[in-house]
Amino acid sequence: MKVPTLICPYSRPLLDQIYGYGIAVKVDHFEDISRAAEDIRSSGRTLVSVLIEVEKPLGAVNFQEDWQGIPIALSVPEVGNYRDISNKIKRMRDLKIHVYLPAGNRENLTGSRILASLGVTCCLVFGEVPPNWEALSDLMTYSLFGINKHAPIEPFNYISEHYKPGANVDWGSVYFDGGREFLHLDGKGRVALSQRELLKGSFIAEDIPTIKTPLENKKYRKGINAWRQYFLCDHPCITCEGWKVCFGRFGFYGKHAGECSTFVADMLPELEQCRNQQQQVTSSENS
Amino acid sequence: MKTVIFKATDICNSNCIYCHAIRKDHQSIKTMSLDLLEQFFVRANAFLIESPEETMKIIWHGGEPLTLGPEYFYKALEFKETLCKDTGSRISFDIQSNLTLFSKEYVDVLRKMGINNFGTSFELLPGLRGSGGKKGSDIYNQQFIEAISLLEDEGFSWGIIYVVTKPSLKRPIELFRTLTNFVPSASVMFNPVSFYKGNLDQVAITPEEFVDFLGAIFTEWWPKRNRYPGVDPFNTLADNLVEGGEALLCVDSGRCADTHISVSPDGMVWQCGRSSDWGLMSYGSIVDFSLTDIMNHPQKEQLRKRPLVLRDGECSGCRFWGICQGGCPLDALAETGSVMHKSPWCWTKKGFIEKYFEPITGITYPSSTGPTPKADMVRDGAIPTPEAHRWSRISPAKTSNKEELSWIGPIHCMDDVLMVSGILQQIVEENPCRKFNLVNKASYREIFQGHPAIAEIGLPPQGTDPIPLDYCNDAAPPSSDRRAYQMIARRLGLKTPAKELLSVPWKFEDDSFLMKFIPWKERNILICPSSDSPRKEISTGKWEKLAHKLIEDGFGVMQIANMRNRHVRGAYSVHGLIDLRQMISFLRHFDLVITSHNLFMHIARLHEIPAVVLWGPSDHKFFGYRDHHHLQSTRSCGKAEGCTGFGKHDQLASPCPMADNHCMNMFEPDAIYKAAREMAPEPRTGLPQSRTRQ
Repeated sequence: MKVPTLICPYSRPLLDQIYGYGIAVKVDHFEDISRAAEDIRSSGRTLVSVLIEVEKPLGAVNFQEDWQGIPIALSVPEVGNYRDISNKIKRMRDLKIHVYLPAGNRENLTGSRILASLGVTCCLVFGEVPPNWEALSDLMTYSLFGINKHAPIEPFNYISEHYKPGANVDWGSVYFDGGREFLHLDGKGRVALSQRELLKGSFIAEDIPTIKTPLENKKYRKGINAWRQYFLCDHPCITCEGWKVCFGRFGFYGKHAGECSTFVADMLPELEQCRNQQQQVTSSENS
Repeated sequence: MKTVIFKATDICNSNCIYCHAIRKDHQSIKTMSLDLLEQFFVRANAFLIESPEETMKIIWHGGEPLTLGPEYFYKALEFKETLCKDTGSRISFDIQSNLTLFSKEYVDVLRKMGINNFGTSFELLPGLRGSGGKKGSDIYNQQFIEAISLLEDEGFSWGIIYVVTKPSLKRPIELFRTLTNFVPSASVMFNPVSFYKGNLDQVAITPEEFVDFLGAIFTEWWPKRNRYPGVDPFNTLADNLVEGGEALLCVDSGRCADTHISVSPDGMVWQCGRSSDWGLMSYGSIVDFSLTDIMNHPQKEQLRKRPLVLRDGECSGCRFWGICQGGCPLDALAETGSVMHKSPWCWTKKGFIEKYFEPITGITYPSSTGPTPKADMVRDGAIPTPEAHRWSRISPAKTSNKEELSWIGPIHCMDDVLMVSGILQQIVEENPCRKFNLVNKASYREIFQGHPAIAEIGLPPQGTDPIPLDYCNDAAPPSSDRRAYQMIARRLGLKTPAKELLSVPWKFEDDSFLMKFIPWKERNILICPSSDSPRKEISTGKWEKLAHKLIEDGFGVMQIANMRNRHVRGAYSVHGLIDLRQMISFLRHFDLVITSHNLFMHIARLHEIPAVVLWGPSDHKFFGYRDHHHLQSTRSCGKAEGCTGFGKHDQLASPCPMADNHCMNMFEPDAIYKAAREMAPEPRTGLPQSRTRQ
């Protein structure tokens, strides 16, 4: 089993206890980004990413020169005015920054497309508010088939890269989620399977050493296989054609389930087309 | 290969409603003793020595084999290693289990046996599978799910056999999707429930019902078969019928006499697993007989003769003989008392192919009997398989709706789309019952989806002649009749001269983000340099000079273009940011449009926006609108009629041989600028008109 990456708050005492894992560190302030990255790297650990979530629009973020070379996952509520970001685009492009935007805000769908077209990687976050499925579908098509060169738009890019017939695609890793790849720590070092579980205070272990071999941990095993429980409660998602690339991630939209089902089902042929194109390219390169 | 269905136990921790193994009353010994287990491997070794070309697959079956405990499997492995020293490499193992007892303790021994795949069953519907009298499926399924999680974590794969019962018949698609979602590798097999001695009304199904169940799923599966690669019986059948594949299930192979035996806990050898469960076709005990003796048992000889008897008898002339061979002999024996009859379930294969496979796929099976296996060929296993080259295609079924309505065949470019929509709007307003189908070309679906005059957008049935809208391919009509709108109206059956109304069948909509994002000025001009024909385009340099002058005057200048066009420096390009509907809506926010002869000219007319339209190879008298400002260039090539008019439509896509000197490049930016200044409305106070227009 692959060693999971640990997502933890920026706390030096906590970091001092963790060895042998890749680390994605969460910071609350912009000035901590380079400091946290430096702390982790200088101690010989592998920095996977610095995670920061702010309440202001992307246009209001002041991108620092010393963020150069640091993988940053920046969550913002919206893009903001173009005037505010137009002169920052070059710097953003030079940084290893991924911009996370709530998909429930339709403006963010257009914003993602513009940012991607300017070379900035975006990632849509599916929260409480359901997205406009039609607009999302357009964005997905652009992401998969847009002829003009553009940066990835997640999760579509990840799904497209990992999709194959006869297998499910779990794209939780786009959000540093999914117990097989990521474990979430609170300030006390307690271990949760996801950000959501962490916020709920639902932990699978009191600390990292007690979960050295995660598959031996009953709660861990239960957590990573939780998706199978859908099949025991006659959940509408289990009969959805799009399950293979959704995994019930849109299931919580409830009354909007029909719309998400149409969206994901429409995505499948596009993914297959994408895959066929890639295979044709590969075979022509090989020949 | 010899397949041994090895029923070392009849004990099971489950109580599935359709299972015979746990109910059979003809065997009193429930678990095979270690002595008998040892004896089996002695017999297996002797057989493989006598048959040096043979291999043997032992399938652990039951009952539930995992009730035996891991130690039993270690013992079997030990017997194999000690008693089959020279033949062991030709023995392999497989397992069929309900998995609910699977635990880490089994991992090591099963791996050592070379088992890396489990065959299992799963049932979502309550009351069918489960433990105890009430068949408690909740606990059972929870245990099952925990087991497969462990199984996968330990690196085993698995596949499901789903038993179709009466309750399943109501939900074929739901079950198909659920099972293929549940088993990521999509290895799922649908089998009908079957009974011997007794019937259970609440679960029994008829062959006809099974065919319709499969047919409902096949309709979904066939077009998406690449997505669900392991769904049977479809996958095997399609492989047989389309690819000429040779794999046939045991029931259809006509060879089971040579390929299968089963051993029950008391050491008795049977024809197969079901024959053991049903107490039919016993060949004696491994204590008394060698496996070679058993393979030469007189009943086996009967089975070998069966294909010949059926081919010349009951199945004579059946076109499915090559992929059926009379079906399962055990079913025939149970139904008629003799194996020399076809299976009562033979209709499921035939009915499914004729009712669903052939109509849906358009592939038909050979109309006469293919090469038939001869007795010696059957013995040797050289059975001819269906011949792929004998397949022929038939047309898919037509739907009545497609046949009743006229199809409209639009042209490939989008220029006429608003005219067509407006004409259809007028037709349907005159007669609300008048409808058309529309051939799906270019982005017509995006515009016409929801149009009151359009019933369906798609592909017409074979042999349909759509109403062509390629009026430009016609020779030039008299000058007075050349208005494009009137020509399309005539083709669609609207009385002419008709009012030249344009329309779209949906409400205008904006991208709110884009509307905020664009740096609007007090007055805004949209320039549209694109055209589907390079002959109608002006060089980018001229557009740039024009844009520069307009910007100097304080206008906001936006560019809308297609993939071929270069960016006009100074203009704000929205290319790629909006879809077709948004683009049509977007134009209403401008004070002036400057365009060549293209879709944007029509959109400007739709919104009644002033427009300066630049004409070269085509003529504004036939295609333009009276309230637009037309600038018609001099045709430097000397062709008075232009080069893209009537009867010259095929020249549209090619560049003009006059190259940079083609007529559209004769325009001077100053002249366009002057026209634009004349047409542009005066500045207003308050919010720009452009962003409040609805």
